[in-house]
Amino acid sequence: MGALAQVLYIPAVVPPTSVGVLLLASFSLPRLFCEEGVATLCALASFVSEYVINKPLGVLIAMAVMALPTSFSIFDGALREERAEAFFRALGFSGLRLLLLLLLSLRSATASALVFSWIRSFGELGVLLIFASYPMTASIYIYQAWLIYGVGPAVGASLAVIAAVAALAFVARRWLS
Amino acid sequence: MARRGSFVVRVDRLEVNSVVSIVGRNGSGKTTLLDAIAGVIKAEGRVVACGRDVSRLPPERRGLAYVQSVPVDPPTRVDRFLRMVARMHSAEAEVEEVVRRLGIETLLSRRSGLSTGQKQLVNLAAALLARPCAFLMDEPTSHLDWLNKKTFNDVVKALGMPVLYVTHDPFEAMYVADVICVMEGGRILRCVRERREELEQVYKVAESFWSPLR
Repeated sequence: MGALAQVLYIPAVVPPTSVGVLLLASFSLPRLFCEEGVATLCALASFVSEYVINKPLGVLIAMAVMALPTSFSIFDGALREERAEAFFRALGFSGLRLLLLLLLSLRSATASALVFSWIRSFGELGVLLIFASYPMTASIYIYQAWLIYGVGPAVGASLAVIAAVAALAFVARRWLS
Repeated sequence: MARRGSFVVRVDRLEVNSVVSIVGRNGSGKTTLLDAIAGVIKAEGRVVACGRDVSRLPPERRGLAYVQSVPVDPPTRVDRFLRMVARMHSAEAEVEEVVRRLGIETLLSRRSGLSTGQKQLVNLAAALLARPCAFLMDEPTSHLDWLNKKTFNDVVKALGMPVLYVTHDPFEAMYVADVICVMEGGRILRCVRERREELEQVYKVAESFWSPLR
């Protein structure tokens, strides 16, 4: 568990650009092997280039990777909820059923924290720029607006994003509480 | 013997055949004692429950229901949760009776929005349906209003089973328990039986429990 935690926390402690580069390199491996003559990986390589890199699925993968540390820490926190664990274990539950009951019992906190970690990961510019810059997400749009038109239009876009995310967070909090 | 950090709880012998209350100040070791008996923390020595040594068994196999001061949220709709527990212990036929006894019929279709007191009654219902051979209760009424507290304690008194009941309140202990033990510094100082006949003695015990604060 400790080793797994170390791996899952990596996206939180290394620069997002490094995560983007490593993701790109990992997903480019099938193509490299295909070019080297490993024919079985050619289908995977074409799938990756057609559906992952700079595609909506790529955005989702990048967000999932960047949300991993927060999501895992929430998950880990739920598992360390000793009082709830003591209660359910004393009722006779163990193993996966115990885990399920713990997560369901702490569903509001767990679900809202997961939602917020995903919303947060949406703004990880570095990894998205390198691994999945298309379709354009809000953070990349704001960055490009600033590069091309200057700070004025970027401020407008930033305020719009803040309003949208605040509304989403409010709805999520109300719905989950 | 059990440890929590540098704090040590050492109990030579504690026999629970009826409702036994442990009274003590914050930090006296009451919860640590219950955790050790429940198997939540490691302990040295023997815990005998249901006529067998359960010291080496995990909490889920000890047959000791553990109701705590802060109730756990039901993981799903109350009726589904209770049936899930009942099914696991072949107690489906007892669900209605337990629900009626605790007066929680109106909570059955609820999933969230339960008050702390209502959650505690649901926790007790689940504990009853787990068919334990004894109960461990750690300040179970500390968040309950007077009426729910009385309902809860009346059920505890009527259980007819061994209950180790921790409370801060000597008067609650007198209401619910047949034996009252005072705990301090990780030790059980003394236990008093037959509370009605020895009420004065209990008052003295309660007084000694508070006197270090004066």
